[in-house]
Amino acid sequence: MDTSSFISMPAQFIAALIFLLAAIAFVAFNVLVPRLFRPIRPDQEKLSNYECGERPIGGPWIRFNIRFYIIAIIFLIFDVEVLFIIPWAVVYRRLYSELGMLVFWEMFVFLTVLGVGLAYCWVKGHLEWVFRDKLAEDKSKTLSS
Amino acid sequence: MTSIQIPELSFSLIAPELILCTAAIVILLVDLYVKNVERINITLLALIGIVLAFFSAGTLYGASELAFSWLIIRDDMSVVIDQIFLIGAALIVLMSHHYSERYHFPYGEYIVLLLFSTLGMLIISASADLITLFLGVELVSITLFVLTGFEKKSLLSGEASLKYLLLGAFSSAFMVYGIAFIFGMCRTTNLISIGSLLSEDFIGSPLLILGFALLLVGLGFKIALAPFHMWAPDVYQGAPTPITAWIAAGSKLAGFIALVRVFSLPDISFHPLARTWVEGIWWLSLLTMIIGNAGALVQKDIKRMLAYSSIAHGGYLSMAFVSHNDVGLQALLFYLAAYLFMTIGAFAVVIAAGRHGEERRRISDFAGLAKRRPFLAAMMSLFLLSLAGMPPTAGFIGKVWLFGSAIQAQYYGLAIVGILTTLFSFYYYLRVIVYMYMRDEEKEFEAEPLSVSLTLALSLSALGVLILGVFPNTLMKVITNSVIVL
Repeated sequence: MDTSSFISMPAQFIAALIFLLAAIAFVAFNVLVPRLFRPIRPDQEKLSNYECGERPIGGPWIRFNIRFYIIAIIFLIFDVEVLFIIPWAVVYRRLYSELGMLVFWEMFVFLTVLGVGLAYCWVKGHLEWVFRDKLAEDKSKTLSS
Repeated sequence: MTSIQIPELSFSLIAPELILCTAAIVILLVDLYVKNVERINITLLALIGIVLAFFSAGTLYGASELAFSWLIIRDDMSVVIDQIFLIGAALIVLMSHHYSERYHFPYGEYIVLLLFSTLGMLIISASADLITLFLGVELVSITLFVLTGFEKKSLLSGEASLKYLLLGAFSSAFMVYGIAFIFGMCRTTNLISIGSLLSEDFIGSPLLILGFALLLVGLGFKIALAPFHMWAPDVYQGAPTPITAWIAAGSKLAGFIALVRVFSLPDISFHPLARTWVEGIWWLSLLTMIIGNAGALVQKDIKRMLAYSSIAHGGYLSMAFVSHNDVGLQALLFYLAAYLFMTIGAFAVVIAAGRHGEERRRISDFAGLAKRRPFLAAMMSLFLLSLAGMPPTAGFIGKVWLFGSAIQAQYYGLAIVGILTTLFSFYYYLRVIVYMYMRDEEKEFEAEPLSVSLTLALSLSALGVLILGVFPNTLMKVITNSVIVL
C-alpha cells in the first residue's frame, strides 16, 4: 500500500487520532501508576458493591421488571420532543415573520404524531405503574356477564 | 445573525409516503378508540390507503426532481418501485386478513406495523441521501423485528424475532460505520454529491473503500447474501407466514433498491472504485448462488426450503450489480417484480393448505394435495415453476434477462454458474410438485375453506406471474423508460 493515499486524509482525522491516543494514555496512566505505589489491604467492606454508602441488599444480577424499559422509552420520546421544541420556540418569532403559519403547523404535526404515541401508551395502560391487562379483563367480564 | 435557510417543501413529491403514513395513524387510532372494530374494516382501511398511495404515485410519472434539500429523489425508477412495493403490501394485507383470524393477533397493531414497514420501503426507493436511506432501512427492519415475534405463543416465533433483532442490529451497526467513513472522506452524505465528487477525482483512500465495503456488508445482511445469510432460514421458519412472505419479498426488494441507490451512482461506472466493488459483489453473488441452492436441496421444512430458495435468488439478483450496465439494472427491476409475485404466491399457498394448529410445515405434508385441493396444488406448481424459471412464467423472462446482462458484460463464468445452479434448483422445486401429484397422503389434514381474501391474494399473484411471463412487454417498457432517465 502506498503512503501517498494516506496523505489525502483530512487533517481533522489526525486531531481525532491524537485525542483518542491522549484519552487512552490518560486512563492507562491513572489506572496503572497508582497500582505501583498504593498499599493493597482488601477487606469485606471494601470488596462489597458500592451503593452510595448504604449496605447493598442482594446482588445486582436480578431480573428487572420490563416496565422499567417501557417507561424509559416513553421518557426518551418526550425528552427528544423538548430537544426540538426549545430551539423552535427560541427562533419562532423570527421564523414567523419570514414563513408565516407554516412554522406553527410544522410543530403542530410533529406534536400530533407524538400525541398519537402518548394516546397509544395511555389507552394500553402503560402509564400506570400497576399494569392491568385490559384485554384479559374485558374477556373475563364478557364471560361472567 | 444570518437568516435560517428553509428548504423548499414540495409535499406533492412525497404524496404516496404521506398517504400511507396517514392511513397507518388513522388505523392505529381507530383500533384504540373504536370498541370491537371488525377486522374486515381494518383490512379495508389499509387497502384504501394502499390503493390511494398507488394512484398518487402514478401521478408522479415524469417527475425528475430532488426535494427537501436533496434528501429525496423522485424519478421514474422510484415511482415504478413504489408501485411494486404497494402491490406487494396489498397482497400481504389480504393474506394477513385470513391468517390473523386463524391465530387471533392484535390485528390493528399488526396492520399498522405492516404499513409502516411499507412506508420504510417507499422511503428507501426515494432516497437521495445516505441518511434517508438509513432511516428507511431501519423503519423496515424494526417493524419486521416486531412482526416476526407476533405469534406470542409460538417459541419458534420468539426465537426468530430475537435472532432477527440481534443480527439486524449488528448489520445496522455495520451500515452506520460505513456511512461514517464515507462521510469522513467525502464530507457529505448526499449520494449525488458523492457521485460527482468521485467522478471528478479518485480519492484513493483505503478508508473510502472500507466505507463502501462496510455498507455492502450491512446491506448484505439485510438481503441475506452468503456469507451473511445465516439468520434467514430460522427467521423465515419462525415468523408468521404472511410476514415470512413480506420479509422474503418486500424486505429483500428494499435491500436491493438500497444497493441500487448506493452502487449505481451515476457518473462513476468507469471509476476505479467501481472495479473494486464489482469484484466484491462477484464473489458474494457466486457464493450466494451455490450456498442457497445447495442448502435448499436438503431441507425438509417447506418454509426453510423457500428461505434457501430466496437466498439463491439474492445471488441471481446481485449478478446485476456485477454486470453494472443499464441492461443489468433493468433486468434487476423486472426480476424483483416477478420475484415478489411468485414468492408471495408460494407462501399464500402454504397458508391456504393449513389450518389452525395444523400447518403443513414439512414438504412431505404436501403429499396428495392435488387430490384433495386441486386448485391449491395447481397454484403451488405455477409459483414453484416460476421460481425455478420455466418458460411461460415471469421467472423465466427475468432469469434470461439477468443472465443475458452478465454475458453482455462478459462475465461468462458467473452466468454459467447461474445457469448450472438454476438447473440444480429444479430438483427441489419439482420435488414438492412430485409430492403433491404423485404421492399419497401420509396424514389426513382437515380442509379449511378458502376465504375470499386469500383467494384474491392467490389469484392476483398468479395473474402477476402469468402476465409478466406471457406479456413481459407491459412492465419492460415502463422499466426501460425509467432506467434511461436515470
